[in-house]
Amino acid sequence: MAMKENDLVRPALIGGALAGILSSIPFFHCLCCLWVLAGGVLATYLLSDRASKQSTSYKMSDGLLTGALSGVFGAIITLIIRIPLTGYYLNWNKRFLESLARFADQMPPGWENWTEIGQQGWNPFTFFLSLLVTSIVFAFLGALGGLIGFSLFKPSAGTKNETQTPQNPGDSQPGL
Amino acid sequence: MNRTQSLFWLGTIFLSGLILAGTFLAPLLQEKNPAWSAFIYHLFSSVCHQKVERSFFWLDRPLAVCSRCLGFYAGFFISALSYPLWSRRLVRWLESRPSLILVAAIPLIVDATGGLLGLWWTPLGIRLASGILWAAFLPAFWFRALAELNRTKKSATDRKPLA
Repeated sequence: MAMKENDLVRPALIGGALAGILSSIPFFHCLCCLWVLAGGVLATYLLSDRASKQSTSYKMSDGLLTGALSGVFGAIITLIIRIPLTGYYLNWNKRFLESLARFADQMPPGWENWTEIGQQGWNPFTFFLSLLVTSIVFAFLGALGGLIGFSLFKPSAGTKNETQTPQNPGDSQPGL
Repeated sequence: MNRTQSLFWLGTIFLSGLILAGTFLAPLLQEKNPAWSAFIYHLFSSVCHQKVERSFFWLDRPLAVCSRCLGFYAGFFISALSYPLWSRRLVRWLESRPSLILVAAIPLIVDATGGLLGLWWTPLGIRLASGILWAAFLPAFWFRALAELNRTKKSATDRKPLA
């Protein structure tokens, strides 16, 4: 029996919460995309745990989908948490621009005022655009985290799983 | 070429290419449209520390991500782009070894951990290479997972009773 789509949502929510919260906390967010990947791995671990309890199988595609979902949830949580932390991130961006000014020969005029763009208040257009783009990037990274999670927690040889089923070699590779 | 496989491949190329292009768009727009440039830098700040001393420069401005992240996005894009040219034997060999995802990540993990602990400072080229090395293997598993997803959907559709 294969995993149902509903079985993927809760692990994805938990993985997304990890990714979203840690990606938003000052200092922790410096560790690049690690938290989003970790969210995907956690989601796949929870999926494998659920599968073993239910004596069901799960496949690499389940890991990919759960990871991608965890990325989307993580993006939403990150953006929501960042709203009250806007002041901190504006200072972060300001420090980045000042650091950039040390290395760049010429900065465009008025660059000191760029961080003031964010202080003009909440803008629904930029919020939803950020949400869209961040969701895409987080979903991509979360999906890769799901693949990593599958390689770590793949079903053992005793359980029925996709790796034991004869594969159609032409399926995954489009060829020329 | 199967239509579904082509769509998956094109979709992957588009998505990964868009993300990679974004990293170059930020410095490109800085002079002509600084607000959009700042916005793009801000978007990538969720997934990268963007430390200027660890980033490559283009047009005298840093890219939107550090050298390691650039290696990751570029490696995945180039690897996915060339995927139709891979031999089937190689693809099957890779797909049967998902643990390679972790093995390929070892240089990246070692380098990042050493840098985090202040043990060493790696040149940008090495960081870039560690990102490329890891990402180069991923498309094999990515497309396999997508193929599985497609098969699962097809069998679910076939099982549905006719109206």
